Amino acid sequence: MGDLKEKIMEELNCETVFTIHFGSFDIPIAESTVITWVIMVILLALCIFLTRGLKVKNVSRRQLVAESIVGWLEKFVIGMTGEEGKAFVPYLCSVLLYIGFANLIGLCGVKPPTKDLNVTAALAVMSIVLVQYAGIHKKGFKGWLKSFTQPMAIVTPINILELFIKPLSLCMRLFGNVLGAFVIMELLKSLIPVVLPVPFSFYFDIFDGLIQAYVFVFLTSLYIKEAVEE
Amino acid sequence: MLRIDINLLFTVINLIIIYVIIRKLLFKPVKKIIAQREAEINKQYEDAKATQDNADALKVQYEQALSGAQEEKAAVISEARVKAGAEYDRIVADAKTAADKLMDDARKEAVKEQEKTIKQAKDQIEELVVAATAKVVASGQGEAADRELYNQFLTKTGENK
Amino acid sequence: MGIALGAGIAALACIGAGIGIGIAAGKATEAVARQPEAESKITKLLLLGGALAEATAIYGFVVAILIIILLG
Repeated sequence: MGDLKEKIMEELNCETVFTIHFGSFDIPIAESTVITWVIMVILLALCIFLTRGLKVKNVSRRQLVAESIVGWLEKFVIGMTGEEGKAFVPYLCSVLLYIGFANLIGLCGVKPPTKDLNVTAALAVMSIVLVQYAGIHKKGFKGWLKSFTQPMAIVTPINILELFIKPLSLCMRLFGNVLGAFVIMELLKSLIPVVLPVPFSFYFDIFDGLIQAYVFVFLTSLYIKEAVEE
Repeated sequence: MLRIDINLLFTVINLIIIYVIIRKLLFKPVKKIIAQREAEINKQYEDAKATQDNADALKVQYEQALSGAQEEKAAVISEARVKAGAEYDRIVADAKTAADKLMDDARKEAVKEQEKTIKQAKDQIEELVVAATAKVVASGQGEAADRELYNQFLTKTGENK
Repeated sequence: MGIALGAGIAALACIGAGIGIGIAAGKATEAVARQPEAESKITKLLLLGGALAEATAIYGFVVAILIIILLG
């Protein structure tokens, strides 16, 4: 039993792959960062491969795939943000692709980077910065400040609190989902390593991972809409 | 697992790089190519429309030409008809005058003939009268003979007539 | 022992999420039965609602893990 505990704790830990010694500073590079680099390389290769030799006529199958992916992503994200949020489509698409890949990469046996609180916190912080930026961009700085007192002056503390609750909720939702799925999968794998984890892996790694990516992007676009509309 | 350190910053940087990659290398070229294709399709549509307009104009022109030809044809036919009518009238009139003349001639001829016959008959009667007078003068036989002669004359003339 | 109990109580948040997702799924089934042509929209909403309701259970789970790790 103690053995299992040790193993799970080890799996749960986000290891520091290597440390850069920068003068007197030690900069630890976590596993999640390295895996993010791998995902970046995959995305870069995919993008270059798909968009190589684009033609107007006589399109190749590769170009068709690229065009349908872009069209689908755009339609998908615009369906959530509406017409006002068109400027944020590329960012939301990249977040969607990143979280999707990050959650699916768990299938390859590595730890998904979204299991690291750093990654989800970074995602949530970026989302909330984007939401506030959208609000400032739309309403101007004064209008943005004024929007905190809406609909009544008395709710201002709650609105300011919301500024922290929103990213925290985004962060913890993604982190908790991936972590929970990971723990359950590890338990199942340590119990029966063959056959049994397969259907659960389908649910926890593929379905849940993609749903969480969708929910993250959906909530971000919802917040953007809210910030832009008022 | 639950640590927040410098890796958060790394992740932010990575995310921005991913954003740039997706935007510059996936969205931009694909959208550009789609816009190009749209422009080309629009151009083709315009070309097709221009060609269609041209064809329509040609058709209208052709139809006009066709209706002009039809009018011309009708004019020619009506003119010919008028001409033919005139000709017909002229021919009929000619024939009528010719026939009138013929009739006139015939009538004149007939009158002449009649006159001639009458004259002949008169001559004969005169001759007969002369002959009869001569006979009467020559025989000189009474009243009975006169009556006889008279009757004879009557019958003769009656037969003649 | 107390820590384990605390973690267990935190994990009770799963109850609410379970009830919530159950209600959502039931209503979605009713909606599809009433309007089968809107199935794709309803499915999307159901998945979203499920994910949002699930978040509460996830919070419970995170809190439980935090209790175990930080206090244990």
